[in-house]
Amino acid sequence: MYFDYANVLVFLLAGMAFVVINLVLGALIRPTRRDRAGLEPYECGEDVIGSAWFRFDIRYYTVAMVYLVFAVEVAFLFPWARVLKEALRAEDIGGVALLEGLLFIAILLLGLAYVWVKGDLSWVRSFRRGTPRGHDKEV
Amino acid sequence: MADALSYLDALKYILPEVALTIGLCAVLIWDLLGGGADRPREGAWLSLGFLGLTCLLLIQRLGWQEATVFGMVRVDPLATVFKLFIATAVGLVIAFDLADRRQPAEGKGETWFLLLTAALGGFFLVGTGNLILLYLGLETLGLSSYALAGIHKRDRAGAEASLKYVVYGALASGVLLFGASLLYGMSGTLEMREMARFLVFAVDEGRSAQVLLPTLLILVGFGFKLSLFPFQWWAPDVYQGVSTPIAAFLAVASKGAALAALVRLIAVAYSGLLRLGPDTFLPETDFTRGFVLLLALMSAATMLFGNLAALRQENLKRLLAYSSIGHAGYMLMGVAVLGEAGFRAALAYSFVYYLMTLGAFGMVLYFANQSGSEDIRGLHGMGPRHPLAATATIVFLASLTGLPPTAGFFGKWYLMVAAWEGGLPWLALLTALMSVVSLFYYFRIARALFLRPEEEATPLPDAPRTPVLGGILAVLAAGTLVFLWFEPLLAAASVGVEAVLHW
Repeated sequence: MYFDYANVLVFLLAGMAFVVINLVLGALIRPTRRDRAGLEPYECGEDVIGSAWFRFDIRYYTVAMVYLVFAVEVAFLFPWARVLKEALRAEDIGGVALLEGLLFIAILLLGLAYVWVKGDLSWVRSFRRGTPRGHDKEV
Repeated sequence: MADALSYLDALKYILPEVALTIGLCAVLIWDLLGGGADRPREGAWLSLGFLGLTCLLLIQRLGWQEATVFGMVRVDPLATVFKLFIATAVGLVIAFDLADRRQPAEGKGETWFLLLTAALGGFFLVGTGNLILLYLGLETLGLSSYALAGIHKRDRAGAEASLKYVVYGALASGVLLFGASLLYGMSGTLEMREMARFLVFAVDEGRSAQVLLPTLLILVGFGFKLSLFPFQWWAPDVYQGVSTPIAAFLAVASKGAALAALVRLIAVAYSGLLRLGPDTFLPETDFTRGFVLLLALMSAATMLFGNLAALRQENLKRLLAYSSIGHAGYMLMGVAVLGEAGFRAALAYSFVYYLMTLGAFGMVLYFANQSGSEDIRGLHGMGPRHPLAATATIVFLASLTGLPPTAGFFGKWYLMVAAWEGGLPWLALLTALMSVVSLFYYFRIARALFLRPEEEATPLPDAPRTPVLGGILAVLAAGTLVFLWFEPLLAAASVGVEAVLHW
């Protein structure tokens, strides 16, 4: 029965060999230039400034999250919009199909309303009441 | 079946979920309109109102015929009972949260919104026979829990807890998804019920390794949620770092949902393989033997680790975290028996666990409000001063230890009988031994309450009075003490197990 796994082994070995062979082949045939431009990570792009190991602004993550919400929305709405026309013509599920799509959009809009009200849409964010808020404060 | 039901008929089956969804949207809108920080009580009542409506709808559905709606959502007694379990637990957590005077007022609206969302995830987790919906439910529950752990952004311990939780959680759910994808790749279906047949084929053809690997991977995901050894490392740090109500939520609602889903998965997807049935004995096949041994060893390691590590804890929440790991080990013992009796005992124990663990966390909250400390030291001399809460605490501790006449004793008794008769007598003996060990650390709490001089106590000068919390504790303690309640609970577990086994 273990022979069944032979093709797994072949894939594994082929995958490893692919990497090793290409690296070795590249090392053998490419010209080697040890001047300053040749050692840059991006030889023909922007000049590198500093290290990538610094703290990114937390706001980028908020933007990324908001983007995700709408990217996913679009991914789900395209197929829905594609079949909606036929669904509307069908008698039994037409209204339901439209209603469910609208509900889906409404719930996602609630997410947009949330980031808007909480002030995450403006790049310079202000705390709404009493900044900064302490933790040990008795309520 | 799904095709026979019209859309509106199908919708009736998921009306509790619909009510919960409307409720969580309502809470979010209420928070956005500015209610969150100013009038936290209103939001709590809004959430509790919708949870109550959800519970009423669920109770109404208890007697309904089983059905699969929308091709994925399974409505049967197991699902409905555990939805009630989750909804009521979340309701109590919201009440706890309202009574917690040590948290800042900010983020209340979000807390309740996230708690309701987590409950919705739990609903789909326990109410599906489809691996994709199971994963979706698990993730909805998980992601809400990660956010709940870090809800107070300026709280360092909470942020650390949240980060640890999300890192472990992401890994565990990724591993589970990989396992599920392997099962799907092998059987070509996401339905647990249809999967069972393909798993039998695979093992009969001698490809048991192909079944074993995804099984192990899926167990990792559930092991994380249930905090089973060796996937329990996150639990103490997270429970200690998050606020007490959220710790109670993670310990009770999240674990209960995961247990129900695990029982359904094993009872349905592996039914053919393990030849599970209401009255069949487990035949001795290699796969069955290995599976039982694996679960039994996990259970033994979990209860050993949880109980031994709890011995030296000073922080109450950390202690309860280790104790909840130990109890997860007891529950897994029932699952490991792989039969009706074992599943029933495990589910029944989860109900008992619900009462006493929520009670124990409520106790921590109550006394932390009074002393400002979550350490055992903070309890010194509190007993005579708060007789009602302290008496309730003694009941919870006796039940957690498994002393008669509390519910904990009967729950453990059924588990041990199931293990003994199911061919795991050593595990039953280990449970008894671990109960003795657990007496030591539970007794330390009781000793701190009653036997320590009052001078050592450090009560806050302006400690708030929380009569509602005291009342909840009293009710939970009464439920733990009055073991006559245990019969209906056992019946509920029994009906739930039968529903999945006969599916």
